[in-house]
Amino acid sequence: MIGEASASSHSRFSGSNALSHVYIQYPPLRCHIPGSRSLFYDDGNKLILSLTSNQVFSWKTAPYNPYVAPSSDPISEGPVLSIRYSLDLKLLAIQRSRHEIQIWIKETGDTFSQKCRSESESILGFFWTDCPTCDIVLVKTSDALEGLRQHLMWPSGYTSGFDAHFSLNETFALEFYSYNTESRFLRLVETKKLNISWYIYTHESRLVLLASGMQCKSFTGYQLSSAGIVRLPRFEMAMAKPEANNGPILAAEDVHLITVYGRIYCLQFDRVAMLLNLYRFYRDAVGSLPVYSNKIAVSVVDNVLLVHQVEAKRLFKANVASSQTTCKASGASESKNPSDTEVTIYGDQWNFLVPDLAISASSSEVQLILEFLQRRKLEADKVKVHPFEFIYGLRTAVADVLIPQGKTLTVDHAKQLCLAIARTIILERKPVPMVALAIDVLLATYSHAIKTGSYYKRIIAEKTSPSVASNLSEPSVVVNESITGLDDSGKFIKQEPEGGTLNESYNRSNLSTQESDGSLKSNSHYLDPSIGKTERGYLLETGTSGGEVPPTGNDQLNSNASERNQSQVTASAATSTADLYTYVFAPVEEEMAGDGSYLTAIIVEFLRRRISLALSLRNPPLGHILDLHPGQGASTLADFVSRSASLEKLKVHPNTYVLMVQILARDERYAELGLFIMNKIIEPSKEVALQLLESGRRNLEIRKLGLGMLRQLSLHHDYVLLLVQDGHYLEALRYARKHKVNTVRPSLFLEAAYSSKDPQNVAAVLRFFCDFIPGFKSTSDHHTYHRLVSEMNSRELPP
Amino acid sequence: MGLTSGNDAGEAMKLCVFDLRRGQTEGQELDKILFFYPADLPLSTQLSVIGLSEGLITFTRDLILVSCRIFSPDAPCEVIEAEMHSHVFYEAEPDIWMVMVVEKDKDSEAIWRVDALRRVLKEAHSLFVMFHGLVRALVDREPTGGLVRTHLYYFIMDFLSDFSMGKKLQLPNFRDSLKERGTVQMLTVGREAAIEVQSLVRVLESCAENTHCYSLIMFQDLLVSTNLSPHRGLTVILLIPVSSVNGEQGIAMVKQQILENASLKMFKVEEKLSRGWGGENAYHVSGYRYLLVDGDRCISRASPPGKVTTLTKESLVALSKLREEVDSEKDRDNSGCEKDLEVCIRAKNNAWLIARLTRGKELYMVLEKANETLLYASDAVEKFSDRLS
Repeated sequence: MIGEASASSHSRFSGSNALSHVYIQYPPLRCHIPGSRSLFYDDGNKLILSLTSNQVFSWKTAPYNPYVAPSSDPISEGPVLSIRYSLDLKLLAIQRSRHEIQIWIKETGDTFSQKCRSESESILGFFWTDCPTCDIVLVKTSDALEGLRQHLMWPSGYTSGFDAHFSLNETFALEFYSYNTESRFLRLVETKKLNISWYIYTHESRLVLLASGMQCKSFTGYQLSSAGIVRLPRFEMAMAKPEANNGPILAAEDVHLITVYGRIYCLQFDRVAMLLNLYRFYRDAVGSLPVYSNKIAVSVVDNVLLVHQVEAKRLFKANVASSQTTCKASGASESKNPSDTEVTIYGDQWNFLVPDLAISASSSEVQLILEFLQRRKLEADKVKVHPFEFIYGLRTAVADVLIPQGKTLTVDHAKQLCLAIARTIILERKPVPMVALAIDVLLATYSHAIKTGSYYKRIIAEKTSPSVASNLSEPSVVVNESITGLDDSGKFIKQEPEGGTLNESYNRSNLSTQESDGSLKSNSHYLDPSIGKTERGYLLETGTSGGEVPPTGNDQLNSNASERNQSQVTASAATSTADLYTYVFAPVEEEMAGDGSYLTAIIVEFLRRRISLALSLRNPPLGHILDLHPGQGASTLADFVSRSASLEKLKVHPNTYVLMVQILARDERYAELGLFIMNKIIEPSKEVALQLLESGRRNLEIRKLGLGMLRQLSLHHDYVLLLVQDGHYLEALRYARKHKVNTVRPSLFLEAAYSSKDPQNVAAVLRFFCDFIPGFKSTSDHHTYHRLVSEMNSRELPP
Repeated sequence: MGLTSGNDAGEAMKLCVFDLRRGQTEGQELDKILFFYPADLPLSTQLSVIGLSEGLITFTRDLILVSCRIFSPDAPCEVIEAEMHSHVFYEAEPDIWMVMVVEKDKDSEAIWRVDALRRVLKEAHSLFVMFHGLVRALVDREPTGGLVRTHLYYFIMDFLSDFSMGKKLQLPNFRDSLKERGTVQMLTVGREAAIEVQSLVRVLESCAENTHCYSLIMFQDLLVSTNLSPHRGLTVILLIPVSSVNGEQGIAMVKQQILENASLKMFKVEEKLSRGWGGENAYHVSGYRYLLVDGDRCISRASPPGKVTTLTKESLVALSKLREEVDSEKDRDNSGCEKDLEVCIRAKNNAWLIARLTRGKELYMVLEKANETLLYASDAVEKFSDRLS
C-alpha cells in the first residue's frame, strides 16, 4: 500500500540534478520473486538478496537503478540464517546453523563448510572484510541461550544491516580467517577473546563495535581497515538514569555507526533522556539532538545527518561539523507534497536496513517493495552530475551555517567547515573537476567578500532590478552576483520550515535555471566554457534565485536581509588563498603523501580559476579608465584602486608554490617542474627559489632554476653567495661587480679560489679585490692569501 | 620512400653501420656489414671503407691502452680528417659503429662541422632504438643478421630521405651553424596560457587513468609542454598522438575519453595559443643572428631561418669553425663540471662571432653590422643575455 501510494502521488524530479536530502527514489526497486521466503541485505556489497528454496537472487542497490535485473545463484536446500557474498563476489557464505557456515565457490560450484569445534560454541554472525590480513570474520560465543538470541536476531524474517547481538557478558570471540584460494579452506589467522554483551558492525565503517559493562555502555572496537586491524581505545557513553539505582541497559539497536566524509561517528539513542548523542572516535561527545520517537533510523548525506523519527513521522537534519552540531526540524511528510494528505512517508512496517535503505512489507500485491531514502551519495559513475550535486551540498552546508538561528554555528565554524569539506573531498580523491568547482565556490565567496566594501551598494541595486540580462554591459558584476549565491541559497534553505517544501523549492530553482538559461548564454563569454553547462546552470541558479524571493512589498527588508548576510560573508566563510594553503593544500599533502600528480592537478586548476576570477575583476574597468571615460575621474579611480587591492588579496600564497615544487621534485618530475618555473606558472619568489635550491640537492638542473630565480628577483647577495658556494667564483665576481654587491666577504671568494689549487686564480681574485675594494691591501685576508699564493708558487717552481 | 638507392658512384656521402663482433674470420668480412649507403656500391668498396674504419678504431683503442692521455678513453675514435674526406665515427652501442664519410670541398658548400654530422648519426640511432629496440638485441635475435639488416635498411633510407634535396643529400653544413640538431624549439607562452595548457595536460592524464602517461603538446612545430625527461630520447619531434599509453587494450577507451573530456579544452587552448602566436618571425631579435641552446633540457631558440640566410657565407663558415673549436673544447674537459667560456672573434669580413657557455647554456651569435670595438660586441651580448634569461 505504501509503495503504491508513493508511486502514484509524487512525480519524479526529472531534469533535476540537485536532489533534496530526503526523498524516495521512484520507482521503487521491486524485488518480488515467486516463492521467495526471506530477504537479506548484504551491506558489504550493497546487495538485496532474496531467497527461494534453491536460488538466491540479488539486486544491486548502488548505484540505484530501479530497473536492474536480479542476478541469481543456485544454493542448496536447507535453512539460511544469514547470507553474504565475499567482497569480490566470488564466494558466497551461508550460515546454515548455529554451528556451521557453508561457503560456495562460484567459479567451480564447490562448497565447503566451516564448523564450530565444540557444541558449546556457536556462530553469532560473520562478515567479509577487505583487511589485508584476513578475509572473513566470525563472531562466536559459548553460551546456552541460543534460542533467545535467535529470536532477537531475526525478527520476522529480515536481518538488519547491522548485525546486532545480545547476550549477558559472556565470552565472545572474534575469529579472523583468511581464505586460501588454492586449497580452498579458511585458515584461522587470529582470535580475540572478549567479555562483551553485544556487537555491531557496518561495512562502510569497517568497524566492529563491542559493548560491555552492566549497562552495555562501555565500548571497545576494532577497525578492519585496509592498513590492518586497528584497536580503538575503550570509551564510555553517557546515559541518563531514570532513578537513582536503576541504570538502563543500552541495546544494540540504539547504537548506530555513521560515516561522514570518511570519519566515523557513533550515535547513541538515550531513551531516558530522549536524546541522540553523537560521538566521534578518539574524541569526546560532540553533540546531542532531541528525539521524539521511540523508533528512529539515521542516515547521512554529505555532512548532514538525517534522523528519521519514524513514529513522529518527522525528519531531523543536523550538520555534523567538526565540533558542534546544529539541527533543524523539517516535516518529512509535508516535504513530500503538501496537497496530498494521504501520503505517508514512514510506514509503520518499515524496517530501516542500512542508513539509506528502507524496506516495506505491508503491500498486499507486491510482497516486498524497497525504497531508498536519500540516494545522493556521490557515486563514481555519474561524473557529469557529481560536481553540481556536490557543490550544491557544499553550498547548502555553507548556507546552513551562515543563517543565524538562535544557537547556531559561529561564522568561524562555517569557514572551518568549508575548508574541511574541501580537504575531505581531496582526501577522498574525487574527480579533479569536482574539487575545482568546490575551490571555485570558496574563491568566489572570498572575492565577493573582499569586494563588498566598494561594491555593496551596486549589488543591492542590481538585486532589486528585474532582469539579470540587463547587466550585460558589466559582466564582472554579473559574476559577482552569481557568486553571492551562498546567501541566496541560504534564504532558500530558510524557507523550508515555513512550509515551502523541499521538492518544490528544488523544482523552482530548476525552473529558474531553464527559464533564464538563454539570458545567461548571452553573457557567458566571460565564463569558462570548458566548465560546461552544469556549472553555468549552477551559477545561474544562484544568480537568479535572488529574484526568486517572493516579492514581499518591502524592498527595504529584503535588502536589510542581504546586507546582514553579506557582512557575514565578509566576516566569515570567506576563505582566503592563504587559508586554502594552510587548511587545505598543506594538510592534505601531508596526509595523502604519495599521489603528487592528483594534488598538482588540483593546484593547477586552482590557479586557473584564480586567474579567470582575477581577469573578471581587472579587465572591463581598466578599459574604462584608460580609454573610454577619462572624465569620470574620481569614482572610477576609486574603483580601480579597490579592484587592485582585491587582486592583491587574491594573490596565491607563496607557500602554495613551494608546495608544488616540493611535490614535483619529490616525484622526480623534473621536466614538468622546469616547465612550471619557465612559464611562471609557479610565480617567482624568494621562498620558491630557496625551495628549488633545497630540492636541487638531488638534481643540478633544479638547483640552476633556483639560482636563476634568485637572479631574476635581483636577490644579488644570495645569488653571489650561492655562485661562490658552487665554485663559480669568477662568475660571482663578475656579477658582484656588475651589480655592485659588496656584502659578500672577500674571504669566501678567496677560499673558493684557493681550493681550486691554481695559484693564478687566487692571484687573480686577490688582484680584483685590491683594485675594487679600497683599503683591501691592509686587511688580514690580503696578507693571508698573499702569503698562500707565494707558497703555492714556490711549490710549483722547481728548486 | 623519397630516396632511391641507385645513386651514381660519385655520391658524396657514405654511411655504414657495422658490428665489430661479427665476421672476424677471413672470408667472412661481409658478415659485419649491417647497413651501407649507397647500397649499390661494389662490395669491395664497401669492405674497404669498413676495413679502414675498423683499422682506425682498433688502432686508436690500442693507443689508449698505451697512453690514456692522447685520446679520450670514452671514444676511441671520433673523426679522421683526410685530405679529401672526413670520417665521422659514432659508437652507437658497444661494438656497433656508425661511420659517415663526407667529401670535403672548401669552395663548395661542403664545409662540415663534425659534431653536427655526428648528431645526425646519433639521431638516426636513437630513433631506430625507439622503434625497433637496440641493434644488438636484433642481431642476437637472429644471428644470420637478416632481420637487423632489413630493419636498418628501411629505417635509415627513410631517415635519409628527409635530407634529400633533389637528387642529392643535403647534410647539415656550415649554413646550419645557427641550428642545433637534437633540440626542440619551445613556444614561449604567457602564464595564463601556460596554466590552461597544464590544465589540459591534467585532463589528458586523467583520461589514461592509472597508467603513467607521458604527454607532449606541440604548436606549429614548437614544443609547448612535456613531462618527458629530455634524456629519454627527445631528440625527436614526433607528432604521435598527444598522449601515448602502454598496453594495447585501453587505447580505444583512452581515445574515447580524450574525445569526450579533452577535445573542447584542446580547441580552447589552441585558440589561446594562436592568439598569442607571433608568427614565424616571433623570435627574431633585430640586429642579432643567434642560437641559444639549453643542453639540460634539450631545447633551443634561434633566429628564424629566413633571417639567418641574410648572413654572408664568410660569417657562417667562420661561425662553423668557431663552433668546431668550442665542441672540441667541450669534449676535452670531461671532468663533469660544466664549462664556462666566452669567445669573441672578429672575422675577416669584420663580423663579430661570439660563443658563450655558462652553466649548461650555450649562446652563439653573429653580429655583422656591429661597431668596431670589442666592448661594443660584449655589451651587445650582455644586453641580449639579460633579455633572454
